[in-house]
Amino acid sequence: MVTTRSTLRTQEMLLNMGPHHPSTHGVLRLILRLDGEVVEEVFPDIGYLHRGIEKIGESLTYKQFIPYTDRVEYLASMNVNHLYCMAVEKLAGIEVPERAEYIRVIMTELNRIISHIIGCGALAMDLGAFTPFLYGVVEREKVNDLFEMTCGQRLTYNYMRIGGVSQDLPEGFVEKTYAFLEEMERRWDEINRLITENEIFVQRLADVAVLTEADALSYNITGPNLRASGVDWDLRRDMPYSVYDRFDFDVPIGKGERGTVGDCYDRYLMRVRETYESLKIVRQALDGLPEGEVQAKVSKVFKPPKGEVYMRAENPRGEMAVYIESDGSTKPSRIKFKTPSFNSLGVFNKICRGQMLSDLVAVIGSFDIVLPEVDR
Amino acid sequence: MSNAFKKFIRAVTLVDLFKGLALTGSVWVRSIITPRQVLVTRPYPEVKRPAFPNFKGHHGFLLNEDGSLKCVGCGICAGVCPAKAIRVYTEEGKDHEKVVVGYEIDAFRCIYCGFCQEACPKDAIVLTRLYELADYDNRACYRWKMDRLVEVGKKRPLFRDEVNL
Repeated sequence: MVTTRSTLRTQEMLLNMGPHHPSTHGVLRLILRLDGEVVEEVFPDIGYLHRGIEKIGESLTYKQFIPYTDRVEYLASMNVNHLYCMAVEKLAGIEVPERAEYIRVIMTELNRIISHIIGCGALAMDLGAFTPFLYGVVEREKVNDLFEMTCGQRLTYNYMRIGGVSQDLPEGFVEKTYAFLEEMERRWDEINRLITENEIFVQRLADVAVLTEADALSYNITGPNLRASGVDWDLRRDMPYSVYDRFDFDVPIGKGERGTVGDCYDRYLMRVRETYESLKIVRQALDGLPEGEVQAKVSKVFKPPKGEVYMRAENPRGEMAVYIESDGSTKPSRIKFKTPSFNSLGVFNKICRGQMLSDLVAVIGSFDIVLPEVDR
Repeated sequence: MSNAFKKFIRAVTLVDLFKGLALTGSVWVRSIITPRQVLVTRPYPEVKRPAFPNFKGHHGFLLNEDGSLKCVGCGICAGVCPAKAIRVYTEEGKDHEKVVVGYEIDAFRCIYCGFCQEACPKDAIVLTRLYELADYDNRACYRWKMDRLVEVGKKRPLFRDEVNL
């Protein structure tokens, strides 16, 4: 590891990174205290994208809030849709038809794939490699077409409904998805050949901003970032929701292949490997797709019983959770989202100390944060 | 030590560089031999991709076979709209029936969720496949009145140049 803390001390300097810095993945302002080029402290200043989605939810009915959940995290709308609908179904005790559950899993995993494409591509782009991002977007476009075929939207899908999905899969969806899976496996290999083993890329990421297992657990880091630190925990396998217990997939764990366990390179590798696992899950779900209804019977004026529910799910960025409190009326009395990127931002100050300023870009990219999700 | 030697050899012979160039070159060749119509990046105004049948684009208002509005002015669409983008204006007619006199969609508020289409008991409002929403008239651009919606509903156009709004 390169020693970044020099014995020479220069004058301290405060520097604003953002809010319009292109590599902060949204509108994020990092206030940096620098000693020369070495980062002494990082204060993330958030709230630029706060839209009050949780408060909006209190004035809308349960069904009307579904399009707003798309906008909590726009790179993985299906996953948030799924999470919210699961929470309301748990609250009201609604049984979802089996076909709908399979369709949901297919959709969420496809969305996880395209989210990881953007995550890996944006990281490479921040480090100066523009090509992997463009190649990735080509594949993302195909999934967007699949989504447009199914639900008519390309970014904010609004596909899931309470008790099922809005409409059945269109004709030709299954064949097109099989074709995409085959194509994607080859293309993803190609994209990885560009960067994963590239010496410059590895040097920029290995041993940078190491997140230890203890830190990851105490800061409540979840998802690929947690697994990169060597913790074997995946909600889909360990506390299966929906129909995830029927699928066979591996959970990649960070082993510190080119540096220390929990460095930026491990976090990047987790996303690469998880994409292959997601491809596996989609293939199995398509193979076992049952026939039948896609929507359970839900009354038009939907009133869940009084009570509260807490539901969590494994999203591309980590565990996202939703808490809903119902007072027995048509509108929820409180909705609260627990989002993974918020926790990832919290650990920045801990792990970025002593790193070079130019490595900070790699750290932001490797955590794959999405700012609307942080601010809601 | 051997690892460092390997690294050195790779750095000197520029293996990584040529590997990368071979890959980007193959993708470039592939992009040339692919026909323009199915390329992911299309030269947009010349090559337009029609949206899928399920696409949720510009709203359209459907008519009965005799040319009257299908809409009965129940206002369910305005009720289910999460963005409160729809306004329905009704009046009492000659035989004390409900007459729809105005219908307005605020295009700035609309989030194209499609709840209005799902909720409509008469299937009067649909989201068509028209996705080119730009307009020369700034008012017409964000307040979609009844005549514009009927025009789109009649033709259900794929592209903007097929309809005169």
